[in-house]
Amino acid sequence: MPSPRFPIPQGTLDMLILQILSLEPTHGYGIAQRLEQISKSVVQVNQGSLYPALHRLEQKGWLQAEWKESETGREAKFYSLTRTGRKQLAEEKDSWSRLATAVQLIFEEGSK
Amino acid sequence: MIRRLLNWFRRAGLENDLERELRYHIDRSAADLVAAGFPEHEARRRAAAEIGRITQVQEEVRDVWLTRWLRDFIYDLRYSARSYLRTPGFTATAVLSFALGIGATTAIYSLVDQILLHSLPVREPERLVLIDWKGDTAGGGFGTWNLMSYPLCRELQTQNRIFEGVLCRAATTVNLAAGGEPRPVTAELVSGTYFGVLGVGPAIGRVLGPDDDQTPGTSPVVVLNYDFWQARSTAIPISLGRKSSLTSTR
Repeated sequence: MPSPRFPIPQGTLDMLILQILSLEPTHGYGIAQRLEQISKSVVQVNQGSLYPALHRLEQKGWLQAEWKESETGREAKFYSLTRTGRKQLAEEKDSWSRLATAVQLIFEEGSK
Repeated sequence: MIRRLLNWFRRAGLENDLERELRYHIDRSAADLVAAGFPEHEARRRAAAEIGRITQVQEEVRDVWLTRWLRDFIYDLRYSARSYLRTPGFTATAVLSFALGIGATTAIYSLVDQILLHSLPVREPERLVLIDWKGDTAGGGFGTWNLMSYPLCRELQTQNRIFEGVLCRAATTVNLAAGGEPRPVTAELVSGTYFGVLGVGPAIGRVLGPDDDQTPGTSPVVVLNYDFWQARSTAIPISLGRKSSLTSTR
């Protein structure tokens, strides 16, 4: 049995998708796999919620999609970051780290 | 804006895309599970279970498209409302031109609809012609009113070289008294050839024939319009062959 996984926090899925796509363009299944690998099966991503998120990000103009031949030879819809998507990712990373630092500080303050 | 319009037209394409995308995901997932040692049908079952109900995913993605379209639509509406409010003069002009344009088009359409598209409910409406005077001295010098003298009309009825049949008619108002108070009703004075030429028959009884207008002043006959008969038969007790009083109002 795998260790208990906790569901991904609301709103962070978009950020994770942007992060994965900043490494290389890939299709939905590829993103799902990368999420599994990177998070070492700690975070549970409902694969069904991946596609609405992808389409939402595409509508926002942060992603662009293109049908290309995949590694199996079959055509798949590949997503890649747009320039605004890249900017958005940088912003999200920045605010995330500030939030994490702040939470860390508060915890340390309490334990002193 | 253009892309959004295209999106509307590409709705079917979007649906298709989404289905292909999800099918790819499940197929890949199942293939990987098979490679990991699962039997084929078990692999497919697991792959499908992982992504959840396909229809549910499709619904959610559609919601994403729709919210986007709706939001854009509302933004466009707000934007245009604001720009119209900023230039009330232009707005008034535009609205007025639209109103006039739509009004004129509707008027012309109703006219064309009446005249060209709705043909008369007679046997061969396309073969009917209207004979009219050109000039400004017909009648009492009042110009042309589709007026034709009765002798000329009778004369035309005797020929058979140009027309198969000739009918004459004149609209008028008469007072109809059938066992009660006289009431004004619209009527038509017609020649005996009227029903024969139009090819219209009676619901009951008989229509006018050429025999009915041979001698002037004898046995006037009336044919009631079907709707009139239906509507008034209770109010005015008219029956076949009954004598009624008609007086001209002119």
